[in-house]
Amino acid sequence: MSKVIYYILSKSFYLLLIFYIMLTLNFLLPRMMPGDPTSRYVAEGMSLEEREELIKIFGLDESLYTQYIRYIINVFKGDMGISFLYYPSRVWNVIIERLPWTVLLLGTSIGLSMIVGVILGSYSAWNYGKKFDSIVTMGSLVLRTVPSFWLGMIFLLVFGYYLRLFPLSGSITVGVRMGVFERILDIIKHLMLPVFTLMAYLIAGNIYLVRASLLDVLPEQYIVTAKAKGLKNRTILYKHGLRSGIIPVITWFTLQFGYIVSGAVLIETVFSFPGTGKLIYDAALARDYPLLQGAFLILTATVLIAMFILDLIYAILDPRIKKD
Amino acid sequence: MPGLNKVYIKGSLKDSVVKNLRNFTLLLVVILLVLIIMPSSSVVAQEEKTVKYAYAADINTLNPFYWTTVADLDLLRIIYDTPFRIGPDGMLHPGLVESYEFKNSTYIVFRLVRNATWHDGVPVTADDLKFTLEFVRDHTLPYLGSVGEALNIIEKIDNYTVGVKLKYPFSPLPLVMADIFLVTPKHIWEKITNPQQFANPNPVGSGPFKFVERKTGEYILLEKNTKYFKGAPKVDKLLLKIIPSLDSQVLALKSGELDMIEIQPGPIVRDLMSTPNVSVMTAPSTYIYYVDFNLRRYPMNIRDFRKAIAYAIDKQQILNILLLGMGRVADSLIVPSLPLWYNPNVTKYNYDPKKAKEILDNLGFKDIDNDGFREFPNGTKFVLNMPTANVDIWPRLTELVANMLEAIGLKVKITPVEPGTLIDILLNKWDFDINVFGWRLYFDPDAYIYESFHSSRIRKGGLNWSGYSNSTVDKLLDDQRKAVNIEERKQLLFRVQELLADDLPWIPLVYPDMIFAVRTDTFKGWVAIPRYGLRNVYSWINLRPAIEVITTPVYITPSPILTQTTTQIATATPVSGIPLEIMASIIIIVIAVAIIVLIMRRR
Repeated sequence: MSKVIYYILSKSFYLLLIFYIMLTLNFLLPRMMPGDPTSRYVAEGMSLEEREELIKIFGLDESLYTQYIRYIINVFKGDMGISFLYYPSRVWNVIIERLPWTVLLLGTSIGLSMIVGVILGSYSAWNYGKKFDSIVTMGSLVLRTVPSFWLGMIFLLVFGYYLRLFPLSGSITVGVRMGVFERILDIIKHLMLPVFTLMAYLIAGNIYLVRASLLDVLPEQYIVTAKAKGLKNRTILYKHGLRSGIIPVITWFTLQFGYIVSGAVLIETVFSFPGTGKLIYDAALARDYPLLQGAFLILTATVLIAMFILDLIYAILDPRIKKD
Repeated sequence: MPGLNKVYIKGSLKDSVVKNLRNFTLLLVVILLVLIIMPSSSVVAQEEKTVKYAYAADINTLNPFYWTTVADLDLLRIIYDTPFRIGPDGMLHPGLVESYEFKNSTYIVFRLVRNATWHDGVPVTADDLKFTLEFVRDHTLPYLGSVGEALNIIEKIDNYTVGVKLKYPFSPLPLVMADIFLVTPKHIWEKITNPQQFANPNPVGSGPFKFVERKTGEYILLEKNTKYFKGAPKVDKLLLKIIPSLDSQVLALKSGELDMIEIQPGPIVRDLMSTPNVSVMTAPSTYIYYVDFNLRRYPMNIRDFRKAIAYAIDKQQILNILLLGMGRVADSLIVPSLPLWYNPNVTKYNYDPKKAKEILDNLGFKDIDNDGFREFPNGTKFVLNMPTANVDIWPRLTELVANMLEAIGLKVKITPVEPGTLIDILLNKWDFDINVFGWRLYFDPDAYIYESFHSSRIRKGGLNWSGYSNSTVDKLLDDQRKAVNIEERKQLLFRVQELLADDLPWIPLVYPDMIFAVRTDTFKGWVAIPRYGLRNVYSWINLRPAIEVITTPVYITPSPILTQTTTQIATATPVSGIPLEIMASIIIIVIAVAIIVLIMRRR
């Protein structure tokens, strides 16, 4: 028992250490970009005095050291400051307004592509070298290599514009009073095209991963044994084969958690979806240090927590790890 | 391994997996069908008269004091009102302020209209204007810094009259106020302890539309102010959607999801012109594209060298290639859409590469080693460094100019960098030789021309990054600020333009137009104004449903009901003809299928 506690404690310690290093990097990296948050107002005709005043308002006239200390203290207080891009909105408000939409969009896409990927991948592995296998692998490869913004544009043209099945932009229909059920349907309708576009890109990876790991597992002795016991093929594939074949898929799934928070810039741009991807991109262009710090902080935290949980899940999932 | 696998394939597994797959696909198809059959909610949206238009980038803030971009301003100008407005003629017209009078060069009296109210019902009075002016005076606000500096004492004369004492004569005041000065309600803002950090989530103004809601990155919704002092707008709502991709904007316009978009010059203009129920409108912008030099460096500090470059640039070609002719060739550094200040009679440099070469030869810049590029008079080789932003029109514009310079034998190197980096290079590092840049002027040219050419603005981070210094120009620029008489000020600014055209610290290239595409079957009454384009108070008040316009056409006179049906058909039918994108995707799909079939057969 004490061993388990020791395991968790040491993991937590490293987690905190990494978190602190990430915090520092999040502070330094945006500030290393040339220019400052007022650079983008030059082309709008803002004079030097006015820009200096903004710098003062943004709190950037203080020394880097003071800024750093204040930033670290504020982070542990849960305050991420005020965004420059959306001045004077609080960073947390700006992010939280976008985050659910990104989580919805990418969570749905990643989740669905995981399910479809596992089904197609395992069946593909079982049928290694057969017609089904080559169609699936070829097809997913084609979808993976097609640039997703282009595919998105085609989807918009065909399903949104010509067939008029789906709306062309945004995440909800604005200015219309709707019931709850109607509103949900409306959101799903808006989600449809971006989710399909993302899935087209994501599915291939999952299929290949599941297929490859199953191809490793299927020739193993214990599968042969299971077969000899007279188990159903379905049981063999899903209970014995996939059980150990799924580990890399789970790892991959957790790694994609960062993706869920950070969004997908190109897809969000094509479908005018209010996600965090475009937000982070705009923040980088605008040199919005607090917003970048906030977004990266959430990103870092999500990935770290996901990795931590992953470590624990491994022990449950994989009999080999439990023993050690 | 394939051999091993073969052992496991039995009917039962295959069936069950296939069944799983089938169930899954079936479920998906059912969901899809349900969604498709459900009526689209956008049909419901048509009942309310909502004008929908788009921005490519979200606005920054709703704070009427600390806005930072023209996009912010153009939105805030709908919610708040300005003391004056600029009419379609480019001239000053009354807004919240009925009339003004310069009592002497440093004292102005403003008389407010008496029937204006804030959106919460409180009347707009002299207190509000006084409060706003004092706020501008006491804070260095973006773009209003020079105004704030000039203000001295603000007096309330009566409930609707305000007297303003200036520290020194500052004649740009009325035009600047018409353009970027938003009158704010005192009863709300005096209670706010830290106005800089107030996000103003529910702005209360006095403009033609009231704020309803905003979802950052997606939309801003406004509804009409029925008590607007110049009469209620004729449409119910304004919906500003944020659609970053211009292609998506065009699709949305074509399908009727938007009523107005701004477009960039390109093939899309012709495409939209031939789209039914869509028409393309242009408005002169206050934008100017120009070439600037780093005057601290040799040989850019030689006036004749700059002159040679001016003769080498084919402005008409830039206009034709880059802007498809939508704009004007530039001669003066103040744009013609500011009719008060534009001087058409400055020295013009018409495209003449022969003359350009002659000037360079005379200066001693000759190609001695016959490598196709000129050397310094002392024989050393040189390369002119042209940094440019790697976005929008800039790389192409810079390349066009660079080609023209190479044609007269000047070797140039283009360095594309990210926009923020370019600003750093120009303003702080001064590490460039030649640069192509653009500027959007406000209605009063003072801020632009003073900051760009006054020698006091040569400093790190200052806007006179060329390093231009001319004591005559300095004096003229100072004097024009003090001139109270418009005619006098005009003469001074005309003289500045002439001097700048002779000295050539910058070479003006083109004045681009703003291009808009609007739906003609939904709303009519868009008004084009220089600088704002179609997004201006006149449009917002004037817009009304387009049905009226169709009932009284000149050449067809069907009954109103019949017209209505025809319009509906026209909107519902998609444009015929298969576009290139669809063709391309069909071809790609066919090729992909062919490859797969081929592979299958080989097995």
